[in-house]
Amino acid sequence: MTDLVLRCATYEDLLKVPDHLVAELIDGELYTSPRLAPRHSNVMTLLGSDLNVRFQRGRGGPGGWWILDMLQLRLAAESLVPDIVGWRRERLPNLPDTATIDVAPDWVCEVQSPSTALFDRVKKLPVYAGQGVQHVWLVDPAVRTLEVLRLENRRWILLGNYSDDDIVRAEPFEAVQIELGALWIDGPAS
Amino acid sequence: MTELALRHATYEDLLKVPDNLVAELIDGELYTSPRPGRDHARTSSVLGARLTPPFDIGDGGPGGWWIIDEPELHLGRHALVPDLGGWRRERTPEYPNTSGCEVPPDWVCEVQSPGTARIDRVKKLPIYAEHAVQHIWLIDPATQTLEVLRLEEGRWVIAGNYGGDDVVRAEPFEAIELALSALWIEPAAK
Repeated sequence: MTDLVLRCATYEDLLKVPDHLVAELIDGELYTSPRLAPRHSNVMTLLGSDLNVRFQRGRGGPGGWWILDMLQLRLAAESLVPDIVGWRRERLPNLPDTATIDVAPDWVCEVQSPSTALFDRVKKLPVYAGQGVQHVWLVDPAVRTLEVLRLENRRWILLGNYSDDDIVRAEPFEAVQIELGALWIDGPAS
Repeated sequence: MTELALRHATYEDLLKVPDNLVAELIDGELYTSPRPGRDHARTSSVLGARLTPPFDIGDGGPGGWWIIDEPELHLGRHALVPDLGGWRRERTPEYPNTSGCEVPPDWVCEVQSPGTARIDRVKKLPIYAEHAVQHIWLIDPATQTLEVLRLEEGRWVIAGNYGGDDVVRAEPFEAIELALSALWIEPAAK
């Protein structure tokens, strides 16, 4: 469950959150979430590594991206930890040595659980839009869906909804096919 | 849980489904869902009760709509049963045929259950877009979220994501304030 733990919070407050929680700061409000459940972690690992191989390392895909897990973004006053993030290297040629990154990513993937859906959709999507993130993927392992959003004129366009064992070509990674069925811990629905 | 009951189904097959199930025909596939659970029923009932006086009857609002519970829509070869449908009377002066309406509604509300989210998003959203339904509300009582989608040039634009105890003016019913907390059985998330 994502909890609102403090209003009028600062980055110093965020630093005091114990390591077993994920801490995020949005609009001056400090939120904490537990670390990931296995079903959630599984999707993140599989999707992140698949995209990393094809879009960062360029094996079986075009490369040209950084694809990283669970990084802390500091975007203006907000501090967010998306599950997976991607930057086009033309926008971020080198990764910084710091613990946080202040360049808005080109793509974000949030793996949802019932307890984070409200937070992800209501709180985080507007922040990503405000920071000019071009694409957001929302993956829900409980119902085995992928929702693909594209930013246009600061609004989210719903490009597609996919599920189960769909074979997907989805922006911004439409150069390759992704087999959704491989992401779910209990296999595709019959 | 929504189940795929029959492939290559016809409307005659749909008519044979027992009355204790909601039956829908999408792309020649017959889907059945149990009657709504308590969270789902609460949300759907309260929302209908909240929108009908101001928008249908014209009591405390502008009127001008037909608001109908669980209408059976016949859109092309598909038969869909949203939780609520709304028709603007300027476009549909006659009360719609609720057991086989071929005039697409202007607004549809789908209240999601864990077993229906996949069908609602993946299967139904493209059909509603194709038939030029102008607004969709997707409500998930489990996560206490309301997602408002608006059709623009054949694509769904996210007009707003709300949740918990938000008080909203949401298209196309922005004429009234809606306190979302009334839609949930559990106390609203802050």
